[in-house]
Order: sequence, then C-alpha cells, then structure tokens
Amino acid sequence: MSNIKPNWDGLTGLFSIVFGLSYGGYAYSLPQPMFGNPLEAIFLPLTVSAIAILIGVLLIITGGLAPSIMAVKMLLNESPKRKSDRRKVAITAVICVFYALMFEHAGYVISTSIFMFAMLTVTCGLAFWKKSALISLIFAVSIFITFNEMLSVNLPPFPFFN
Amino acid sequence: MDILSSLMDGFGVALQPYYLFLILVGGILGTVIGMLPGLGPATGVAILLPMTFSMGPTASLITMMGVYIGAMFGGSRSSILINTPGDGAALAATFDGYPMAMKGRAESALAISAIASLIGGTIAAVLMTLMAEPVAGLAIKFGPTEYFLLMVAALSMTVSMSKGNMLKGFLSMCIGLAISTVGIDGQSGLQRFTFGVLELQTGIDFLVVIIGIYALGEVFKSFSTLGEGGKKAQTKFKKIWISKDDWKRSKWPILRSAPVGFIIGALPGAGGTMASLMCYNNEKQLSKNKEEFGHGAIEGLAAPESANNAASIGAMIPMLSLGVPGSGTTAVMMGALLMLGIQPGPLLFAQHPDTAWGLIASMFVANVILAIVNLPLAGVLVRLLAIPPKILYPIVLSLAFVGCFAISASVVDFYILIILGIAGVLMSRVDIPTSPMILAAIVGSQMEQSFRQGYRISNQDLSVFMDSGIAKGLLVVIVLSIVIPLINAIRSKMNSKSA
Repeated sequence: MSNIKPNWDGLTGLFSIVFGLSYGGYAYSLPQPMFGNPLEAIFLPLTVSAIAILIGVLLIITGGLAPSIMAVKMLLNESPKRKSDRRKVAITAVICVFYALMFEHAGYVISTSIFMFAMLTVTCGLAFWKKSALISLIFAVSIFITFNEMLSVNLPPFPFFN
Repeated sequence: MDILSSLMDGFGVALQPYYLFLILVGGILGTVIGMLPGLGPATGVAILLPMTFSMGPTASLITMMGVYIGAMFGGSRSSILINTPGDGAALAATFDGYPMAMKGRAESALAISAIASLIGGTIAAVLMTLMAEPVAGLAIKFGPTEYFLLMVAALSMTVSMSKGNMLKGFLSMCIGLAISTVGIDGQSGLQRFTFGVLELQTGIDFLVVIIGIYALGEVFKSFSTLGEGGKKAQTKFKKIWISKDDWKRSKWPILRSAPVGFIIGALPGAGGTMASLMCYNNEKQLSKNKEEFGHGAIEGLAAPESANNAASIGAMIPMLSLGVPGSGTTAVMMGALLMLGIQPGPLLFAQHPDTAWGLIASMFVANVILAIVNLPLAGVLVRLLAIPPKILYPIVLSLAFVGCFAISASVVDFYILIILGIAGVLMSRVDIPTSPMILAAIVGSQMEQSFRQGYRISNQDLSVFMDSGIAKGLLVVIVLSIVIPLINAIRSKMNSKSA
C-alpha cells in the first residue's frame, strides 16, 4: 500500500465513462433528421462517446481506483490555506453567476462596479473597501466609455436610461 | 520573385502610419499583459479582441499580431525580474534569466532577451515568408477527405504531446469535440445538445471556450499564489544593453534556436513552451560551460528567447495556409478573421493578398518595434509588475466577461465561461491537458462537416479516406503520432520497472 502514489487516473476514468455514456445516450435519443442519412448527424457524437468510454476503461485498468481514493483523502486533508484558496474560487464562481444575472438588468456600469467591488473584497479584504469601491467605479465607467464610444460595442446601458 | 514582390506589397500595407500605430499600441498592450504572471499571449489576444471589432480585417489582424508578439516579448520580463514566467513559453527564461538578475546583470538579461526575441522572430518571419504560400498552394489540392484527415492529424499530434498521459489527452479531445457538436447541425438542421436553450442553437463559440479556459481558468488557478505577496521587481536600471562577450556567447545559440523554434511552433499543439525548453536543453548539451547553466549563463537565456518568438510565428503557418490553428493564440486570431467574414486557409493568399501579406510583413515590423520598445522602455514597462495581482486579477476577470459579451452579445455565454473556467481548474488539478480540448472545440465542427461531405461524395464508401497520396501521407502522420509516443511510454515504463 505504501508503494501506491496518489493520482486521479481512476476517477478520471470513471468520469470519462459516465461522460461517454450520458453523451452517447443523449445523442442516440435525439430525433432523426427530416432528410438524409439518419445516422449522419449523430455519427460524431456516438464515436466520441465510444472513445470516451474506451479511454475511461483504459484509465481505470492502468491507474486503478486505489490511488484516486488516496488522492481524494489527501485533498480532504489539505492545509487550511489550500482549502481557503478553493473557497475563494467557489466564492468567485458564485460572484460571477450573480454578475451574469445582474448584467442585463442593472446595466454594465452598475453590475460591473458591484462585481469588481465584490472581487476586490475577495482578493484584498474588506479593510480596503474605500479603495476597492473607487477602483471598481473608475474601471466600470472607463470600460463602458471605451467600448460604447470608441469601439462601437454596445454594452447594456443604465437601467431606465435610453 | 513573386514572393518578394508580394512581401513588398505587404510592407506597403504594414508600414502605413495607421498600421504602425496599431502595431505599437497592440505591442505595448501585449507586452504589459504578457508580463503579468499567468497571463500569456492567448489570454492577451482574447481579452483585447473587442478592441479590433470596429476595424477592418487587415487592421484587426495586424493589431492582434502586435499583441501576440508583444506578449511573447513581455512574457520573459517577469521571468527575469521576479522568477515568475508570464506564460509557459517564458518558463525557460527563469532558468538563467533570474540568476543573471540576482547577480546584478538584469540589464544584460533584459537586453539579450529582447535581442534574441528580435532575431528569432525575424528569422522565423523570413521562413514564414518562404513557406506560407507554397504550403497554401499544396493545401488548394485538399478536398473534404484530406481536410478531415488534416484535422484528425492536428488533433492526434496535439494529443500525443500531452505530457505523460495520452489517455487524458484523448479525453480532453473528446470533451472538445462534444462542445463542437452543440447547436444546429449544419447539414441536417437537427438541434443537438441545446437542451432547449435558444442561445445554444448557434453553438458554443470557440472564443468563449478559449477565454473561459485561459482567462478565467488561469485567474482561478492564480488564487493559490495571491496571499504570497510576490517578489518585488527591480525597477531602476543602468543602460539596458549587452557586452561584446555576451554577444559572442549568445549569437550562435540565437541563430541555432530560431529555425528549431519555428518548426516546433508550426506543429499543432507543440508551441513555444516545448520549443524554448527543447532549445534550452540543446544549448546545454552543446555548451562547453554546462555547469554555468542554471546559474546565469547568458546563452541559456538567449536560446529559449529566440526559440519561443520563432515558435510564435511558426504557429501562424497552419492557421494562414491550412485554416487550422496551431496554438491557442492563432485560434483566437482565426476566430476574429471568421467573425470578419474571412476564411483563413489556402485561398487567403489568392482572395485577400493584402491581409495575408500585410500580416506577414507586420511580423517583421512588429519584431523591430517591440525590440525598440522593450530595450529603452523596459524600465518603465516593468513598473507594472509592481501592481499587485490582487487588483489585476479582478480586472482580467472583468475584461474576460466584457470580451465575451462583445463576441456574442449573450449573457448565456457568461455561464458557459464560468463553467469552463472551473473546468480549467479541475482539469489542471487532475492533470488533463486543455490544449486538445481547445483545438477539438475549434476544428470539431469543420472536421465533422468535411467527413460527411467526403462520405457523401464517395457514395458512403469509406475507402475514399485512403485514396489520394495526400490522404495516405496524412494517415501515416496520424498513426505515427499515436504509435511513437505509445512505444516510448511503454519503453520508459519497462525501463523503470527493470531499474
């Protein structure tokens, strides 16, 4: 057991099999096209699915599941700093989702200011909130002007403002 | 002579004041982004892409060329001064560049880096000039079957370069191909994998895939180094130049590494990292002063710098001549061209000679401009390294989102971007390479359509994929690219068992 080096091959293999099966299954259940060879449109998806399943099986055979289980255990017992890094990634992803939800409703400047402020709070901490707020606002306004006025890319304007 | 006159016409375009200005601005922005740890040329070109939307195709490509070469120049600044490479291609510059800076020779290191990049880039641009049109001429003979096999060859080569684990490379390719199948099928009109989402009917833009993996993924990964405070970069310098002895030691490594870098760069999936590491090792083998390598040998910095700039230009060959991107950055540039209604590939030189030759000429011009910018202004530019990543990364994230919105004007792509960013982190965690996925997402749709066209033309006879000489040659490349690394892997496993 002590000779086993932790790696993710086995779990990656499992993922590959699940991915292959679900992707292939969904492809197979697609409605048939109105014209042409009915299999043509799903030929690539089915091939990809078959390759993914084969790769998954090979990964499990060559890597085994024990090293993956060890890797999971090591992940769970990681240092608090690494755990905090992962938490930061998760928080950032949640902030990004809120940004996407706000973007069209609140307009570019408001949503980006809030997004930037939240992100700067995650990276710099709350102690610098005044600086963060200023940077966020300046950044959002300058990007809005640059894109809308100079690059002719229309970003969502302020709400209730035409 | 034809090539020379076409190149002169290209210079006629690239040397116009407007284009010179675009190269300069793009180059400076590229240098700045390239310097920032973790952000390479692909991210730079991707997040600065919206800047080119209001431009014509030639101006757009020339600007991106400036950003690309600028990022290649800039990548090594942070390697030399803070031992943190801007991107993978600048990794080798840390081996001897940082020790040189530590020994008080930062000026020589910055200078040789810029000079080697200039010479490497210029040699590669000459090779590009000589090879681009002949390769495009060969590609005109390609039918759908040859195109299909070419793309399979590009994918298999990229997978085979997945260090240490080809199986995971194949899995990455499968995910990329799956992404490319989302949307309405071009030939049957069938909606595939859209899950009832209207915005997915047009498919997932591969630029969104690239921005997600490179920009968001890299920023997410960088969170682990945020709390470390980083090293302080030297910002005050004496004259940034090299001595005669430095030049004597560096000139042959620079000249030797440029063609090697160019060839490696032209191989799909290989890129600047492999080119620079290979040339570093070559020089170490050839050097009489092997023991100095890793402790500040100037040739150990000159060779990889020359190679990675040459590789960046080599990567343009498959994109311009064959319409198949050779790297992440060229993929973004190809996407930009497609958005502007121009199809890169063999007909580009015949249908848009101004754009094609203007771009090639801009490679020469950009290298010279960037060398000029990077020598006297290095001290000014590296001050940006003093801006803490804590502030920079939120800005990069925000630019990634605005870039994504500029491409598709759809917020649905934001969710895809977030998913891909997280996927990038997870893939890196479990050692799945991302390059095969990105290349597959780019060429997947075209590859499928080519296969189906060839299959239909031949009345559903698969032997058509082995008919022509080109097809047979490509099949040999595909088989070799899979079999050789497989044999090597088995051999090294057997050796390690017997040891």
